Amino acid sequence: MTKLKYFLATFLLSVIYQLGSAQRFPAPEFESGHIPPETQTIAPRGLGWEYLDVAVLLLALSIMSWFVLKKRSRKGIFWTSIFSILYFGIIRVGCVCSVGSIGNVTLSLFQADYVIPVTMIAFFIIPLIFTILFGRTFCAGVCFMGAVQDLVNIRPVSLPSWVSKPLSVIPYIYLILAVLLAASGADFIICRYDPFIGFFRMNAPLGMLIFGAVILTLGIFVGRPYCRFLCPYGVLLSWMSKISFYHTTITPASCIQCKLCDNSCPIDAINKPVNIHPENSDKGRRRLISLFILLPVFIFLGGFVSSLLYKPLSTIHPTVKLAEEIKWEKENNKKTDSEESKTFHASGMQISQLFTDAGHVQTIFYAGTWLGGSLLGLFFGISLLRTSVVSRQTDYEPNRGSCVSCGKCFKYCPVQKQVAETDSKSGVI
Amino acid sequence: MNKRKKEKLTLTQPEKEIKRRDFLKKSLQAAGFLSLASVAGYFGLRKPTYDHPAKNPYELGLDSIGKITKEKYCDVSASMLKIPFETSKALAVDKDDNIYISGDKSILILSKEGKKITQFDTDITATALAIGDTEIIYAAFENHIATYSLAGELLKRWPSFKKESYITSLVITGTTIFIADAELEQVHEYRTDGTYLRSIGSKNKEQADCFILPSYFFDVAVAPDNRLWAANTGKHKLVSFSSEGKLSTYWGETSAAVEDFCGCCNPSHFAIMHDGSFITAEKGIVRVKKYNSTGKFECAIAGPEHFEASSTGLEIAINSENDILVLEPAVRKIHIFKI
Amino acid sequence: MSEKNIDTSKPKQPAKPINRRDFLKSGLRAAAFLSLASITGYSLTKSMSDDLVWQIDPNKCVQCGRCATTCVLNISAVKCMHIYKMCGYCDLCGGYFKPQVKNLDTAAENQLCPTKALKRSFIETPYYQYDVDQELCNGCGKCVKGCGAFGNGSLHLQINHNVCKNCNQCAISAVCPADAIIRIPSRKGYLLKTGFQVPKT
Repeated sequence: MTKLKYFLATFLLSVIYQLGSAQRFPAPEFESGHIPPETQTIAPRGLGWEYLDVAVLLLALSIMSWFVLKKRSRKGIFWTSIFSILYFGIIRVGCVCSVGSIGNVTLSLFQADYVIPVTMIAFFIIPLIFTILFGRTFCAGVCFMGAVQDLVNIRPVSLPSWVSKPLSVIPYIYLILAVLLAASGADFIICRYDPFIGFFRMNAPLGMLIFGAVILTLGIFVGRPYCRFLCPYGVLLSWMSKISFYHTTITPASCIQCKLCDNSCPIDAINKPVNIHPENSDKGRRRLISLFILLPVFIFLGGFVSSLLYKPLSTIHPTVKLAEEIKWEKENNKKTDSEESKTFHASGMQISQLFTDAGHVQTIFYAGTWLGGSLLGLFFGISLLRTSVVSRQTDYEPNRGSCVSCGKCFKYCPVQKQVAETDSKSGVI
Repeated sequence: MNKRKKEKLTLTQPEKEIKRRDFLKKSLQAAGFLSLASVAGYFGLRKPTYDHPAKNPYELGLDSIGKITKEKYCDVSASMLKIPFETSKALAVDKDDNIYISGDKSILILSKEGKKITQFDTDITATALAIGDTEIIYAAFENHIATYSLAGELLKRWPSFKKESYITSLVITGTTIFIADAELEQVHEYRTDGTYLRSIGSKNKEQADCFILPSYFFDVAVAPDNRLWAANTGKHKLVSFSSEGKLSTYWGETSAAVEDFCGCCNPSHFAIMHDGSFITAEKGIVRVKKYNSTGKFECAIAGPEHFEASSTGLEIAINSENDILVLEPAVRKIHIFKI
Repeated sequence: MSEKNIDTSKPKQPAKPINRRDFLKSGLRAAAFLSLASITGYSLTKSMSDDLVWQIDPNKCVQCGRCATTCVLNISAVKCMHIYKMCGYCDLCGGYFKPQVKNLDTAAENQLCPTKALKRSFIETPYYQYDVDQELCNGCGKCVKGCGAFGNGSLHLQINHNVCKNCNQCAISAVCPADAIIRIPSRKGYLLKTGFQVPKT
């Protein structure tokens, strides 16, 4: 009967599509002169809100950069982040955001018929440009997700590096995975698995609400768990920040190596001065060369290991998922009774066509996992190469890549206080 | 060269440790990557189970539409005759139980067993048929009537009533002929010689005898007591008239139950058996039902599973043995039900 | 390596590695700017030409109910649209009444719609007009299914552009079993069963 229902639905809809005589019940002619109304079609929202979002983003980034670099005021950073939560999080209900814009941009690059809204390009590019200029001031408090994590982080605990280093690999994997899945049209995992949006929308799958609660609870002790260990946009921002023109510093003037800021960073992003002899240049050069030789090996290994996963990854794509279901049906000689299966069988599409399409998608995933894995191998190789870079650091500096410019270290630096005192004494506010 | 050898320093202890720590960190990173890959691989390589698909919370159970329970069915034996027409419109039987069908711009006459007697062409497909006692075929062609002999010879063409008229049913009783005009929403009463008597059907929408016809389905029949019955499809009622053309009685209710009528315009066709009971045919939910002479539901002759879902134009005729003939144009058949 | 001459007048030697680093940094900055600019430029050339919105293809929809449950918004952006041109104005409306309705009135127990968004009003015998209150409609598709099964199919689901957030991936399109949710240029307006209709502003 259900099959009949589906057949009926498709058959009837195709019949009814021709107006008038083919209709089951003919359109009436009203004797009372009643005129049937027009089908109600509501005009779309104006784009005013979205352009306002971009303007507010620019404004907030500018103000934040000023607070971080010029004014060096933790209070300013804090209140700007409150404003971000209020505007981007509560008023605009957390969507659109720069983290999710990765999906839009990926789609725009890989799908010829997708048109990215101008505001989305703005949300993707503007924080990156500000980061090249000023460092990760976006993360400080303009990103409402970072701001929320900062708010709950009342008892920061330092993580040992054997925990934080492996975990910090995840954002790279997340980024590569997100780009691969978005480019192949499978899924948009950044938006789907955003733990915070459910609270702002007050509507999310239960799993995501639990995940969000876990992250926030964790965030009480561990500083910014999403930013450090999950955020894929943070990968791009860390790259931009490493080559930024300006960057926040712990001290307003020069470092006096007093070590008072040693434990001040809630996310352990302070680079401490390194006290070693530069090693023998022979040994160093030999190691450097061997690492260069190993680089292609890492790339190949990364690609190879990732490509082993192309089949299960491809099942995220709806075409492949459906093909797997139909294949299961054929093997077990029964119907799954799911909506997808019923609709597929009622549509009259050839199973061979479905399998061809699924195979095509799997080819894309094969190429994508090879490429993505190679990139990950490349990143790993580069991170090893960087151990050969001699660090002549004598001062306490924020790590250019991972410092989120939250400014919580400012108050620990005595130089800050000294500068402030001399300023106030001399009458400069 | 010598100097280089001399300068080959041994790594000091803190340097070694830092190198070791660095290496450890990097290998932990690699281990992290590999473990994540294996976790992902495990979850990905598991076979999905398809035994419990998600339920639709807004599921609408359509199975009950038109469902007729077993006890509501009459005990009938069904058979059928095939007809050659692509589109057929009208059905009639004469006193000898010969079957007359109009379709594909012709009229076909079959014997009771279904053997072809004769077939002749007409200008357009007749929209209604009736056979007079004097072996004259009265055929309605949308807005006018023409009479034919049994051999197919055109006898007389009546003048049209109004250009817009659409005649959907004819019934002859004695010397009177009732013509159901679906466009003008009236039943015209004429003498068989062509004299106009009256038009039945009021314009007051509140009254039962005001015919509301949303579609071109309008059937009339004469009961054994010589009263005219007409189907007021828009109001889901069957209405009877006295010999003066005044409203007499009516019955019929609107609901989704099998005992009543639903849809925009039902019953699309009906006929009256020799004992006065009504046989109705509907479209939308295609079914044929039997009511007693006072309009009380008796049983269902055939339900939707007996017919094509989109069938319309189920003309009914009753032959001398009280067999029910139902024309189903969509599948080119005449169903014959014997109670 | 040759012996280093510690020359206080020329402190350039130790400066070399830093310059290399600076050069690398400038190169990377240039590369970053270039890639950002090219992404922006490429995306903008497409944006200037068009603007895509999500719409449901009403001929493919199977009324699975996921429009109501999967949209990220609290009340789904999918609403029922009534194509009055196609409606039969029936007394016993397949989309308004439950399948085995006893009395044809507006009592809640007779209605299909879980949110009472479908309104019934008398026009003239025997015609009734059915209107959809889009603010109450949650896009469940029950009325669509009923109208399609016992009616003309003049009710169908469609995405309301005033409510829809135009996500980069419509959550419903990912789970639609009939692949009925597609992107169309926004200038085409709404995809209705009778063709595209641009809303009056």
